[in-house]
Amino acid sequence: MKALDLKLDKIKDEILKLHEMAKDAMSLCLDAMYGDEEKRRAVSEIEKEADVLNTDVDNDCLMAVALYQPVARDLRFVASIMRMSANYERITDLADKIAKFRVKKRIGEDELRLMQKTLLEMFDVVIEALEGNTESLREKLVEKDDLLDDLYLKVIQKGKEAMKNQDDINDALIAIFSAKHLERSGDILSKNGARIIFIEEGRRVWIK
Amino acid sequence: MAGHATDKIVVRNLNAWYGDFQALKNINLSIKKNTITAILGPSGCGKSTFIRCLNRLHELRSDAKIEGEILLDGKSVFNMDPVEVRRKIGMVFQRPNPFPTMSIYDNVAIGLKLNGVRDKKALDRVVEDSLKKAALWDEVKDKLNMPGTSLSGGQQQRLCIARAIATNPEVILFDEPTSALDPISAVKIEDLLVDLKGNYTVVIVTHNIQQAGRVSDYVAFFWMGELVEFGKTAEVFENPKEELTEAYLTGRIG
Ligand SMILES: Nc1ncnc2c1ncn2[C@@H]1O[C@H](COP(=O)(O)OP(=O)(O)OP(=O)(O)O)[C@@H](O)[C@H]1O
Ligand SMILES: [Mg+2]
Repeated sequence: MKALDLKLDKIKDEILKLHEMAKDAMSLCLDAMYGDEEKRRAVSEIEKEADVLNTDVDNDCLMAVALYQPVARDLRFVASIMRMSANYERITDLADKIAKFRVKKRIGEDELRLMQKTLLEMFDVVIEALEGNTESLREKLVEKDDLLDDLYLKVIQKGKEAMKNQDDINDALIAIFSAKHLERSGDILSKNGARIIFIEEGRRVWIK
Repeated sequence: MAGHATDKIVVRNLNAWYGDFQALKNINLSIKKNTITAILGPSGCGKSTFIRCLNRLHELRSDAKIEGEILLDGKSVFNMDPVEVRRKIGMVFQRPNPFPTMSIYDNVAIGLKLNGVRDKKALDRVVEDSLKKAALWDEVKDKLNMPGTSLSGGQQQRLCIARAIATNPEVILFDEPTSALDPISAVKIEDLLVDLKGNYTVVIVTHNIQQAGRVSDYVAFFWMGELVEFGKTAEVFENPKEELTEAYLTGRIG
């Protein structure tokens, strides 16, 4: 069905775009938090654009369902993309939250940077899957997701220690919140990975 | 097990021919009681032939041949009187085909009359009951003596359904029952199918994939005389096992 294919191609382009936006936001947010005003504005811009694009994707998917009544892979694709799109939008939200923090002291910076790096690697795994290679996607995501969980615990530990010093409580809380947002973003991205497996193979898997 | 759908019709190793041409190849499939099974597949794949085998219409053709087993409630239809098989397994065709010279009333009563029922009260009751089940009663109750052909296409199709119901069948076969109807009439027939499955086992041949999705519990996908895939409608529509089914359902065959 030519008309449906064109619509699905458009939706696919949009989800790839959203993926890139979420990744960009995540790659900028820590520098923003550590004081880079330009990156802070950039993340905020991305967050707003992602909101709009997510609404477009939602609308396109609904229209595809209403007009073409997709089935089989097409149905799995459309239904999953609606979720995935909302998930990417949520990730830009979390990046924006991190970017809006301001710290005096960089508590747990090494761990946070490593969390960010791991998350960006997860984005690459997911994009490869979106482009058709789902081989050991689940395993790769689980491994990185576990690493994020470990690092999150480490940041909590460092934060707790830092809190012994009255003056650092605020920065310690921010470090913990940021780690929480990064860890959460990893979960959400894993869910998108699971969705891609569902689209391609019709299997429902849980990553987490 | 109580509450579980049981097999109403079981088809085993069914082969059917028109002369030398083999139209059905080794079909195996079970149709569950009180469910709607949709038969899907491209033109010429053997859908009509298949359902015509079920009520032994296929073998009426002089060049027809049939092999294999068809069980109705566990008993071979080939060991039953063909007339009895056709009473138990009714059929509704693509084009509404009321008997042109007969009134609405007689179109419904004809099967019973042919079976020797003469009691006017009994006939009245069955006619009313069948027309109600076919969701046509309110539209025709004041003009039962008008010719069946005076009705609209959609009404005629429901009349044919009433006619099929009147002889109290257990299974009703529908061969593209809505393809000649406007969307509103088609929806009425679809609603009716869903109502009917409470009392009957329904098999419907359709070219309308979405219709199969809307009304059926199971789908069977045929391709060049073979059964490619059979399963629960929701499962087949979400995730067909066979690539051919996927290609057909998504309109990418060819
Ligand atoms: N009377 C006949 N004589 C010879 N071949 C026939 C006859 N009727 C049907 N066939 C062939 O048998 C095959 C199956 O026909 P059938 O009518 O069962 O297909 P179908 O799936 O119902 O198609 P459609 O969707 O067009 O109604 C076709 O290839 C057809 O050409
Ligand atoms: Mg046919």
